[in-house]
Amino acid sequence: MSEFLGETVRDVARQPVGKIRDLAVATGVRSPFPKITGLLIRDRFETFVLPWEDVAIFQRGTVRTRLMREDLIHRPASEDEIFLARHLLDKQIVDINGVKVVRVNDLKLDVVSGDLVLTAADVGVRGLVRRVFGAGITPRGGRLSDASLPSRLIPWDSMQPLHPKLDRLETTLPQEKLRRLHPADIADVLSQVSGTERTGIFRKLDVETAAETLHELEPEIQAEILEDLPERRASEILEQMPADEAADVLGEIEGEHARDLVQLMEKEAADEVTELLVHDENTAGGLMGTDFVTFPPVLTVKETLQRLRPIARDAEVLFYFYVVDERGILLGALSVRELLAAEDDTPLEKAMTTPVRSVTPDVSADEVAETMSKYDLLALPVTDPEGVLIGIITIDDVVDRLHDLPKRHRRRLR
Amino acid sequence: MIAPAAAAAGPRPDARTWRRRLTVFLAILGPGIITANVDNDAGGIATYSIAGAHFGYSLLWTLLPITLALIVVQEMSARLGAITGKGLGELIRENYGLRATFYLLVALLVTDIGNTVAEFAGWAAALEIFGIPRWVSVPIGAFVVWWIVVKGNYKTVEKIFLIACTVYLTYIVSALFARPLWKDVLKQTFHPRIESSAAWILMIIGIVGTTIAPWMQFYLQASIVEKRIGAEEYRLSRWDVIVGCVLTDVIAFFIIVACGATLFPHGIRIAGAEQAALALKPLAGKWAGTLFAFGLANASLFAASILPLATAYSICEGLGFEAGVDKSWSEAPQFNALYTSMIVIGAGIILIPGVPLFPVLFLSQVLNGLLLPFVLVFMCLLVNRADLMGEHVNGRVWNWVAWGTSAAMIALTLGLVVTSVWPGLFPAA
Repeated sequence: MSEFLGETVRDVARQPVGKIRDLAVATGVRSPFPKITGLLIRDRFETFVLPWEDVAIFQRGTVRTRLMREDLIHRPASEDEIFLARHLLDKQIVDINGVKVVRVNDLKLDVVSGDLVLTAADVGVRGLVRRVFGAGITPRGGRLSDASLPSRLIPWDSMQPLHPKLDRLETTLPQEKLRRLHPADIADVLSQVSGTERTGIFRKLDVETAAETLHELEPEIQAEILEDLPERRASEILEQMPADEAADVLGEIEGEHARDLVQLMEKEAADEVTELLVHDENTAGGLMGTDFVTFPPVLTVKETLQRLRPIARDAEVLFYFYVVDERGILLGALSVRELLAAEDDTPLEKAMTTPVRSVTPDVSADEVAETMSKYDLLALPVTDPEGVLIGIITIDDVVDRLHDLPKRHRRRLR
Repeated sequence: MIAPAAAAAGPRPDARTWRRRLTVFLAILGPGIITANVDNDAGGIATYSIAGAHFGYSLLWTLLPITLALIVVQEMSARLGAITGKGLGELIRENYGLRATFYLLVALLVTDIGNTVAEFAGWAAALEIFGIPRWVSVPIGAFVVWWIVVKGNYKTVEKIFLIACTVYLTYIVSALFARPLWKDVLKQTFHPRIESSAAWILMIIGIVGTTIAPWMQFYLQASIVEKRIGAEEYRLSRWDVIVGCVLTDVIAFFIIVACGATLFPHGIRIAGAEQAALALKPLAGKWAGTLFAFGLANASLFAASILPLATAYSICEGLGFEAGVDKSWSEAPQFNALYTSMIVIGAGIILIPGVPLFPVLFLSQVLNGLLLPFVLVFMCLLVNRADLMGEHVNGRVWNWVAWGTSAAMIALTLGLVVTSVWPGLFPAA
């Protein structure tokens, strides 16, 4: 495309019409590739769009119109039109296959079934050199674009433009591109771009993927993203997240705004989160989640298994479940393995391990991590001073404290 | 059954709020102050010393407009970073295309190689005072820089350098001990005097270039982006920037006064570090050399470990190459090649026998001054774009100062060319 920018357009009588400044592309058309619909042309007096129908020849060095220049319609560019140079060239895109944010050096145009369409973005050094020095200059007089410089093309169906305007450019593969990535990869991409693009990407994700992606990011970045999203959507994402995770994010968001978001959430999820927000984030209370499973002591192993099945389907993690009496006091714990190994008609109070190691909410996070690491626990119950089970801390919640390694992604300068 | 959620326990307690506010403030504090300290690098010390020794107090007045310009320019960098969340190279690329970006970045690379050479020159000059020859000191310096870049924990290193930077305060004490004629100092500070000799113009370009160095604008903006300071935190961050700018120029002021009081009256020309060190004699006596050498060595190494990296980041970001110190050669070839070659070239030029250290230090700062207007023009254009900055575009005063600085630097550059080609053009010269 860079070979056409700045090219002089002539009419049928070879009179100059103006110079090409940009290419307009179609929106809302269902075709596999974005179609060129016009040329943005600048003459001495004004900038206007020349409809593609009026272009007779479009080749390197020769761009001709179909009409005399007096007969051409000068349509001014409209605000919501999409232009390739203005909105895509030099901007960042996501290379879906390489899971990387890259910058567009040049764009590849091809003729597909009679239309001029955008087929790929050049993000390699060859495109860069072509843009800077033009197509035809090399020390030995050859064409640089043919020289043996590394070229990297990203086909249209493997790239996700990040400019908010290009959202409307979705062709026959709407929304699909980003969904091909694992949430951890999306998080990686997010950590490489700035605020506007980040919010743009997030808008494209469905609520579930958004929640999972958010989970991979640092609380500060999570908060920034949620603050930028419409409140309705932000609260939907929060509902999808485990309560303890949601509480951490809300802790980073400014008070007033956080309260609004909680109010928009479903009652049940909101209550869980509000409860967790009371605790300091560096104590057991701040770490714990409320997604745990309890059974009464008199239940038999067989009955338990039956009840467990539907729960297992949407539990965050299920390492242990707990046996509590009617007041909610923690009596014992069973791992899934122990349950499977036990005889069908054994009551839980016989099969469970007791006493269970547990902590109160005010125990420090480091102590929690130490306890879990020392006794090789995958989950640790949290009880109030009376012994009532109020939450569990899973290994996920403390794994960052076990190693000093930063697990999560963030934008790095040095 | 899933455990029933406990009753709602009311809104978030306020205990978190004030603590959070304090953390926010401490977290954003830094980019401005650090940038200011890097600003007084080897090139800076040399340039201010030469200004004081060769021109006495007569250039002091320039520090007032320069401080104003510095505050305006740095504030613009920080604001661009905070509002757009993007680096300067990225912004220029996205808004003014690849070709303009490419040539600007090539100029930045050349200038910054000059600056890196200057840092190693400062390092070599400092260690020569201790009697260590440069063919020993420079390779060691280059290795230390490389080690800091590749293996070091940058945050710790940065703190050590920052603490060592307090050695500049000795210039304030030394200037006081030298008993300058304060009446004279004040008079010259508020009484602008303009000359038209090539040497004078060169000096001014050097002072502006070292104080408002182009690479610092890239660096400051990148730091703001990296710290993820947004529009809200920016109110606080602005003070960090302003304090940093004032600090830079207070130190510059006292370096010039110290040199103006001790060296200028005796007509001592600065040809090397030994002469520049004499400015600290009123304070440190025979230890002046040691003190000066320590300050210069620290400043040189501090800047030398930041500069190649910051430049490599700016260039890769603008041209869309992969960048990051934790990336291998095959992952980020351009990035690794850039900072490595900058260190190698920077150190290598100093090892060429007979290269004069102080002139190199000074001329690299002139190069900064020549590039500055181009960077400024882009910054001014960007910061005034409502589509990027929204309500945070420049105010009228800010625009006047920023455009005025660009215009003044272009005028000075043209003036330098004219007076160099026709030295006798202005009879007063």
